[in-house]
Amino acid sequence: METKFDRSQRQILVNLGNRYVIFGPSGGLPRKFDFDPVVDSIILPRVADESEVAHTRIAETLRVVGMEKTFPLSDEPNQPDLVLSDKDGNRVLVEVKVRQGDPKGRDLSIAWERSKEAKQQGLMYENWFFNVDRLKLLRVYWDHEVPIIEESVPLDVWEKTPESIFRRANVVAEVEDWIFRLDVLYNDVESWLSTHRDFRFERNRTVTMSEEMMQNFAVTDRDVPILDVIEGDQVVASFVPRGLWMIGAWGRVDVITRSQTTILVATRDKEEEELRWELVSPEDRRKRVPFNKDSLIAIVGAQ
Amino acid sequence: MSRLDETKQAYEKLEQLLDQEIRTRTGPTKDLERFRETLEVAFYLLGWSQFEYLVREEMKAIVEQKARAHTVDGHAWKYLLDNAKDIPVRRRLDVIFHADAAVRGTLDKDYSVRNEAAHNYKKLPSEAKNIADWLAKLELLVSKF
Repeated sequence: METKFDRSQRQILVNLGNRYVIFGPSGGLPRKFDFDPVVDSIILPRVADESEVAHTRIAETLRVVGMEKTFPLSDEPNQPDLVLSDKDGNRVLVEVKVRQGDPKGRDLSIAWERSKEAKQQGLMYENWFFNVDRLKLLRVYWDHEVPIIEESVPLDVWEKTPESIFRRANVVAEVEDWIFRLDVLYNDVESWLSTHRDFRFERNRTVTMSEEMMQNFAVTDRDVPILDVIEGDQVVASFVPRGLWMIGAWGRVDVITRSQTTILVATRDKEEEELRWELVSPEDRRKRVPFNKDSLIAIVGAQ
Repeated sequence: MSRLDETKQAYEKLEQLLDQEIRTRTGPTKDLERFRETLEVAFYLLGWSQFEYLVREEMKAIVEQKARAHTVDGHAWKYLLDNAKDIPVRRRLDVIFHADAAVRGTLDKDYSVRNEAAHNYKKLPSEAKNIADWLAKLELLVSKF
């Protein structure tokens, strides 16, 4: 039996442990999500290590638009993890594989061989490789005498707890806010130092922001500007963003001068307070001083 | 002072050199970011291996002391001593830090980070990246042995 339905356009919802992910086709025009965090996900017990439960959670929670999921009978050939059926009676046997990277050549060969054998028996058999580190789904099968790999990308990611739903859009917003806060910080630094000596400023160089939180929620890496403070032809200080998600801080920037590196952190005492920048003492990291024109000149201007 | 303190000083110096390279370089810094991540993993693993040696020695000293007793417990401790080589790191930590659940819990998490870095090719999570501070904490623990 040849496949009649378009496999490539399906949106697939799974829970990987703590995260729900909608996988779908990459590229093309933006499409509405077929699944909604409020309606289509339930609160599941949180786990310390997603990789330990991912296979079970995927099998339990997987949903595909327009298809019904059942679990295979014990005499089903090849023993898949799931059976997906559409309203026309087409059935796809799915074997779920969880990996922390892409499948190896050996994995693919076995998957194609199995799918090819099933095809000869009139069955559609797919191996679904979930890359839980870099959020990717590869569907591997044999069709029209050709080995196929179809990649699905994460369209949305969220975690649902009794208190709230934390979505990919929240992470995107936090990254944007971080870049805005850096811009404000750099403007302050430029304005405070421009009256002090004959400094000039450059923001041409960048560091790549690729934090675990971004990877977990499938947010693409960002290039974030470094602020260089230049006197003559010498860089006297570089403000290098080190990270946004820290324990006890809402972002860290290293101020690298000729003599030392000083850590600048964004802090606040209460959630409703505005964030402020503080310099961490190099001698004792528990001690902090407010970041202002005087403390800046003390570390940069005094050189 | 143990070798851990020397390791901390070496890390701080290399971190400083990398920082200075970032400041003085005019071009992209991506390779330096990768070097920094590798440096963090390398020193995290080095710190753990040095700490593990000290943990093994400390546990052996505790067990030897207890195995001296001519009681049933003493025989049990003697059995443990004879099989000390096969005891996993987490069990060794239990013997030493059983009375301090907070320290034991933190070391448990750190050991999971170590395993992910050593066996799973993972970078360090942000909470474990403060290598110099972390090495100083290990030094403090060791100083109380």
